[in-house]
Amino acid sequence: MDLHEWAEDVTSGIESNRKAREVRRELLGHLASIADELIAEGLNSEQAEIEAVSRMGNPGWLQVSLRQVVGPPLSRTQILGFVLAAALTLIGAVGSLGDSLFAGLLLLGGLVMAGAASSPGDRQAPFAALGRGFKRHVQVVATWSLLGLLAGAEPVWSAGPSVSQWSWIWPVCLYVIVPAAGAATLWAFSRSGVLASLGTLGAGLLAYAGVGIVSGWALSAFWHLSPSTSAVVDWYTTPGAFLPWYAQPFASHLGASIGFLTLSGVVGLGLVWTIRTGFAPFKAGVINEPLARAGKNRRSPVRS
Amino acid sequence: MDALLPSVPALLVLKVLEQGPAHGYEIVRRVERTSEGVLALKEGTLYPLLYKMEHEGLVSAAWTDVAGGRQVRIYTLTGLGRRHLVEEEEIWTIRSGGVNRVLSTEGAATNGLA
Repeated sequence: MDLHEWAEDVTSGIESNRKAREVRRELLGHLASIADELIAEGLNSEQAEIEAVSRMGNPGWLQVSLRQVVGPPLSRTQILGFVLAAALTLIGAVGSLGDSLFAGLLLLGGLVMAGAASSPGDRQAPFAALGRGFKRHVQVVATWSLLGLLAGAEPVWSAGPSVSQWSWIWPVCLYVIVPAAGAATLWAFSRSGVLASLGTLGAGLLAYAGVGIVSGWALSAFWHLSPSTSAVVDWYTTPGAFLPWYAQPFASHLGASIGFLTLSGVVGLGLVWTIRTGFAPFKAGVINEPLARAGKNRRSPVRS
Repeated sequence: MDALLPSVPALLVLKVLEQGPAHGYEIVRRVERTSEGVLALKEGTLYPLLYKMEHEGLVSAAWTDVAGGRQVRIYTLTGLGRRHLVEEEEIWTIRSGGVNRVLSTEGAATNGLA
C-alpha cells in the first residue's frame, strides 16, 4: 500500500485540513524511521514499508481515534449554523423561483455555512479545504462544470425554433450528468472529513455557478449585442426580463438550481457523515472511548 | 468512579518524556528499551494519546530538523505534565500495591479452603 494513501486514509476523519496535513507529516516521518531501521536490518524498501505500516496498527481504529482526538465532533453552535444555513438556502431556493431577489438568501446561507464550518482557532481552514476540493476531486469539479455549462446555455437548447434538435440534452442531463455529479460528490464525501467534504461541495458549486454564470453572461451579451437572434431566449426573458443583461444569468433557473444543489449537497453530506460516524455529532463524551478500548486489546507482550 | 489504575500508555509516555524531550519514534523505542522488551507502545495508540496530552497541556510540541533533511515533532513535558506525572505515579503505586495485596490474599484464602 502506498504510504501517502495510508496516511490520507487514517487522517480523513480530521476536520481541519491543516491539522490533518500536520498529522500526516508526523506519521509519515515515523513510518520512514521504522522503514529505515528495517532496511538497515536487511529488508528491501517495499518489505520495509509494508512492515512499517503494519506496526502502526489497525488503520480503521487509528482513523477513529485521530478523528475523535484531533477533529472532535461538531459543536452545538456549528450544528445550529448548518441548520440555519440549510433553512436560508431552502427559503432562498424556493423564493427565487418566483422572485430572483430571494437569491440573496442563498448567498447568506453560504456565508453562514462557511462560518459554521470554521473552527475557532483555524479561520483559514475553509479556504484551504476549498482549494483542496478543486485539486483532489477533479471528477466532482468536471461534472459540476458540465452541469453549469448546460444550465448557462439552457436558452439555446430549451427554447426557440430549434428546440426539437436539442431535445436529447434534457434526458442526458437528468439521467447521466446529474447522477454522475451526485455520485462523484457522495464518493468524495464518503472518504473525507466534514470540512474537506464542504470544501469539495464548495468547489463543485463554484464550478457549477462559475461556468453557468460565465456561459450565461456570454449568451446574454451576445443577445444584447445582436437582438435579432433573441428568438431563442426563454428563461432570460421571462422572470429575468426586467433585469439588465449582465444580471440575467442570476435570475430564475440558474439561481434556483444553485440553491437546490447547495441544499442537496448539504443534505447528502449530512446523511453520509451521520452514517459514517454513527450519529457522532449528536453524542457527547466519546473522546476517550478508543483510548479506553486500547487497554482491552492487550496481548503478550503487553502492546497498548 | 474514576479508573482503578491510571492509563498505562499515558503514564509510560509521561515518564519517558521526563527523561528528556523526544519525538514519537524515540518515545516508542525508549519504552521498549527501558522495559527490556516487555512493553511495546503501539504507534497507533501513541499519536492519539500525544495529541490528547498536547490538547490538555501536559506536553508541548515543536517541529525540529533532524539528520537526513527530515523534520520531526519533538514533545516536551510541561510543568503541568510533570505535576500530573507525580500524581499519577503516586496513584499507580498505591493502587497497584493494593491490587497485588488483594491478589495474594485471595490466593491464600483459596488455598485455605482447599
